[in-house]
Amino acid sequence: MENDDILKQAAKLKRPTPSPNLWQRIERELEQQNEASLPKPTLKRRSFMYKPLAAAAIVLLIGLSSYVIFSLEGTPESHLYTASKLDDIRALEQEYRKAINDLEKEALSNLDALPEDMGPLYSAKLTLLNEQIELCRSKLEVNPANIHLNKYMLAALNEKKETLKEILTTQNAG
Amino acid sequence: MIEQVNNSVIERCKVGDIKAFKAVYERYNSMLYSIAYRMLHSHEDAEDALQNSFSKLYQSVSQYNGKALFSSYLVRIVINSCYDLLKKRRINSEELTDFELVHEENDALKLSLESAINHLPDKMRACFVLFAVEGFKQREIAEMLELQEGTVKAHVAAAKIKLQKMLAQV
Repeated sequence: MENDDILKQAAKLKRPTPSPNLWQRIERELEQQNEASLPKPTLKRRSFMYKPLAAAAIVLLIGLSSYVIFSLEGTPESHLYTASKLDDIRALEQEYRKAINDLEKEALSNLDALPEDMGPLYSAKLTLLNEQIELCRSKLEVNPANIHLNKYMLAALNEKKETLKEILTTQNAG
Repeated sequence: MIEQVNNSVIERCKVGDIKAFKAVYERYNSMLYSIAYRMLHSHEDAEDALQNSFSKLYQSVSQYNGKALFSSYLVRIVINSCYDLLKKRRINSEELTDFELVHEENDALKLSLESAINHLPDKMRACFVLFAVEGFKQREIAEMLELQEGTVKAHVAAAKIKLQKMLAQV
């Protein structure tokens, strides 16, 4: 077989297909990683031990991100999104806000029904996230294309969406 | 050229949105699986490679800066996962010699070619599969595999000669 024939034959090789449940495997793996980065469920049983630590971490996180947000005024142009990129970001923000609206009513009306002291913990987390979102929103009014501010905003919205989902899952499991 | 996912999907991946990873999977799984399969010659290992790759993507996508195409970034992750699995396989002496693929077609030449590709050295195989089977440009492959373009060209040329010799013996 000639050199060129090998290339022609190679180009004609069929693509094998993965099994239909491969995505489910990957999704489980990603969810496990996602859960690993969140507080463990056992926290609710031993929350009295972790509360001071968690509170300190949250205060530190809010403090640090607020410092970053406040220090971002007047950022150079390299830290700004282009107009087309900004449209994508706004579309994504709307998507998150819609999902949050859909989840919020049901999740918040049943906060008291959560087992043990989970209700106040979730309530405190949501309050902090709302403050973070509001802070980002107010800063974005004067600096709408700032990459860091937009990232903080999207991360906070995503975290709020996931927290609401978690509340509903816990309520349904209970 | 492969159609890329739009930027909003990548941004959603960066904040850990699993639905965005699904969109990435749906767009690229056929190409990525094909590459993994031809690197590993085992469906089970190719699936493991893809699972590992998405796990790595989840951890590292926040560092993706848009300089390379997102598809190139993914191919690099998949190839590295394949190298890891090949390394493990060698440590455990599990080198696969039999060809596992059952093609719908009964084309003896294609089966021989698949088998011959499996016998190429790892980097040479990666260069050949990406160039000849998946149709990437040598410049893109150099970027994906962090090699000089000249090295990619040399690997592809050497692969063609080796494959020619192997197929002549069949």
